[in-house]
Amino acid sequence: MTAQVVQSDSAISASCAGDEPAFRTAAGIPVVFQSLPPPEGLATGNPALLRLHLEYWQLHLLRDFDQLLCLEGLSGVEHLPHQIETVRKVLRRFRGRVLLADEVGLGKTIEACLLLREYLLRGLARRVLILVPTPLVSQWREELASKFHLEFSTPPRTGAADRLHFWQNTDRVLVSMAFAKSRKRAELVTEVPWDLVIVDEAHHCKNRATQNWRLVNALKRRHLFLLSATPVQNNLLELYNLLTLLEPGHLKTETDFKRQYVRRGNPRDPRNRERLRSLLGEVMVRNTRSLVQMDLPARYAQTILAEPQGEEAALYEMLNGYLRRRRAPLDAIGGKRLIGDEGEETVVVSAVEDDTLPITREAAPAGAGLPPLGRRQLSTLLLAAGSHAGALAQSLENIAGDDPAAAPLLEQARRVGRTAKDERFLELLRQSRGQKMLVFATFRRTLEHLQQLMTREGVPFATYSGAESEGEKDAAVAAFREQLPVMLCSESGGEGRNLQFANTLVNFDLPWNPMRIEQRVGRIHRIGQTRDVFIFNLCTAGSLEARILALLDEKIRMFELVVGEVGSILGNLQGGEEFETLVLDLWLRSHDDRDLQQSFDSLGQSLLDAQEDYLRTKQLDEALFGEEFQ
Amino acid sequence: MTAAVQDRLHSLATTLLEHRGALVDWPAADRPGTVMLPPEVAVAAGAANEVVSLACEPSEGGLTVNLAGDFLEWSGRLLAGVPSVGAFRVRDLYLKRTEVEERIRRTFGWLNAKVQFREARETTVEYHTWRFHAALNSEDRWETCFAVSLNAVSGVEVELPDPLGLWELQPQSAPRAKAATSYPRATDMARRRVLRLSAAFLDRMDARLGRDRKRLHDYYHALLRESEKKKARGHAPPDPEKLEATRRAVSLELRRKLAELDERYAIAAALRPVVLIRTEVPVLAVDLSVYRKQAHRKHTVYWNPLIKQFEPLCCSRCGQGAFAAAFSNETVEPICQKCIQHDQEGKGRQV
Repeated sequence: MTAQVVQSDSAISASCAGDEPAFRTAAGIPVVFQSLPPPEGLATGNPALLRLHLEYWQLHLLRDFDQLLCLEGLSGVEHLPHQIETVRKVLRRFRGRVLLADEVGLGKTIEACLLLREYLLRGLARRVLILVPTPLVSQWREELASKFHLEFSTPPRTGAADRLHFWQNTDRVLVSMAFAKSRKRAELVTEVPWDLVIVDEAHHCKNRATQNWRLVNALKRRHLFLLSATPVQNNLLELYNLLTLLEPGHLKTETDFKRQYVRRGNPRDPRNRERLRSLLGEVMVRNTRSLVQMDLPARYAQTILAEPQGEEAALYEMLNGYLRRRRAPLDAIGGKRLIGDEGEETVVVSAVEDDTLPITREAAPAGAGLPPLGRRQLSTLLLAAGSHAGALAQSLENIAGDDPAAAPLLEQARRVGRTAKDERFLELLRQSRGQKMLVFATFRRTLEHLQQLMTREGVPFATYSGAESEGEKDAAVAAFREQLPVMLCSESGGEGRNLQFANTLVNFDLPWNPMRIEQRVGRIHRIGQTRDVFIFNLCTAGSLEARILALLDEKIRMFELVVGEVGSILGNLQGGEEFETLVLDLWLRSHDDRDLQQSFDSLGQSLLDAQEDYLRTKQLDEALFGEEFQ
Repeated sequence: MTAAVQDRLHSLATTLLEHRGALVDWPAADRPGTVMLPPEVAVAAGAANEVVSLACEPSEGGLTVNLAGDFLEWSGRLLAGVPSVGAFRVRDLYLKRTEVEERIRRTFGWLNAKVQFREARETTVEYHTWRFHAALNSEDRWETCFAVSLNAVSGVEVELPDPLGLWELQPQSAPRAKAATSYPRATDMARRRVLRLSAAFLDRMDARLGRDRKRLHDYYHALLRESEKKKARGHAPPDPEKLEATRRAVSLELRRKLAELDERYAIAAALRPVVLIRTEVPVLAVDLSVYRKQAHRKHTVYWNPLIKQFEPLCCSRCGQGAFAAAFSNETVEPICQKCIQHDQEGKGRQV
């Protein structure tokens, strides 16, 4: 079900100018009436039919702000009381211009999306622009669609995005800040009016001299939501700059602000705290964990490396060779960004309309006269290989028809029986007897394989995936809760369900995007969980997944972070790429395993830097706002 | 959503779907039901199949009847096929002819003319009751529903009771589709009504705009003052060109922000005629001869049995009802006191 803008309201804003003579209020606000044609047609003598019309419009009136519309029809969103309270507050008090500065993990994105839905449903907004850091574009798009039933357009990776037509005619745009702020596009984005603008990780607009700040400041917008858990990163002026975007003059001039609120010699330490807090309270909402009593138990992660042997090892060897032969030549990839999948936007390549094109156009055909594989094909094959030989075989089937060189690889994948990961998984099952275990796999073929494996081993299980009906899903969750020790889940499995009765999670395979891993963990590590949570990550030694895990687990200790912190760290990553894009780029650019490892080491260093940035800022914000601020 | 709202939604959905030919089995709002839809209705409702479930809570593949989903959208599409003009008559109302002249004398005031009573006759007049939905969209939003009833002959607004609530109401025997001539007058009345009903909202918008304007003025003027101060305190003389450029930039930015603010607060008003109820009512029409200087003209006033009083005359300038009226010199048209006052003040017509 897609949330719709109320018909009558969208018509108003579309044609308010010049329809009818304007009245003016005492302060001179023009009131422009748009009248619609009178009802026509044969008259009825049945009052009940007329009452249908009247009742229909009376029901429109029922939607006052005491009753939030955004909550109805949302099945996959677990909204918490503080989020609902924030939505109400923003609707009533903040008049659609607010800095949502909840601590990490408390659901600022949910709050913003609830507000967005409310504004759309009430007809308070029609044209919406969402600006986010590049690594978070896909997550936003998915959450908007799957949880809030809101479809947003991402600008195409073609010249069309550089024409006014796209920005004028697309009512809901989700775009990365990096893409929108380029001079040419910034002119277009700021030329058209927006009813609502949402800026995620808004601390990137902390500096008035940056393109980010200037872009948001120049936008013609009616309502503005800024989202940042860490609005102050280095000094209080950053907060001043953010709030100036919301309400210029709310904190007076910069000189006034410094004089009144910034301690000389220490720009991080505010003077007149109470007065500042009171002013901030008019434009900012900050929920803290202690305030909303949302402290979750600890979580512990363990990586289980499976060393492939025999046929399986040979398969990976063959695959690696095959993929390296069929990728674009390295000189064609160079240092430039590559033509990517949906959602990648920072491409500076000329008009390319086709997503399925190989990674570069200039690239000479590689291997057996065939064109290089496209990014999507490459990443699917690499991900499938990281999941299971069965999933890889299925992915290869699509290629083998065109490329005879893939046939032996396909045969090899089919020959692989029980994999090293299977063995380690079964060991884990045996060790974890008595525990409720949630097992995630990305590929359907992998899920099927796990079903067969567990049936052969006599381990009872439930399955929760997109293939099951709602009733079957309900039954699966009930059976898992009541009696079964294991539930197999696909990527979207269990979202919005209460699965906190389980405290063990197994990633049989691993998405490349850390946010997706975080979403999986969030199924059991959430409000209502009373026990420590254990996460087991299975991966094949030497695989891309193993390298990603090494980065996330060993470098930034992702699995021990508070929910939501990964997003903040990724948002701080320089370069503004989706994480999975980065991973694929590293693979594509590497000559061999050593080369690849060096690239991953370098990425790890960037992640560490981003984490340090985040932690430093977090400390500062905690000191500044304290626990009592809301 | 409260149970009462659920019941109302349930009732609307059931009646509407049945009217459009669907077979509905949905006995209670708190439990899901089933509906068999004609193909064109299934398409309009966006239903996946012709037999689907129907419930207030969202269900996979079924139609959801609540305020947040797409119910109001698809039911709006279905309503487009439901007549929104009603033609009725009210019969057997008692019309008393006695003391008519005396009553007219007590009810009306003739400010500049002589008026002569001619005759009182029983007749039938059609009243048009327009039901509107109005919405004002600005920085905030306001909406309401209301009715405007007009005497279709005289054009004057009459405060009629809701015709659909009259027990004497009957369908017209042979209703015809005819153009609603009263619509321009009704929308004019409705606009005034909207402005009156939304007065508190408009005041609130005014106050907010005033505050926001002041904040911007204060801020940008302070910025200007600061640049001046720097000039005074600086040891080296400031570059006048640079200073002027700053002044221009600040002033430009202020203008831009103020324009943005005005745009944000501009009020777009939508006036949607929802239903027209045409009601034939037996009335007592009283013909009067009005003499003004050398001219004279016949006017009719109506005694309305539903409100049990005479209806006002219709001001020829503003269309408002008037019991105390003056008349124009040549055409002997009635003019209300407000219009006369405005004429005298030379202000012309105002709302």
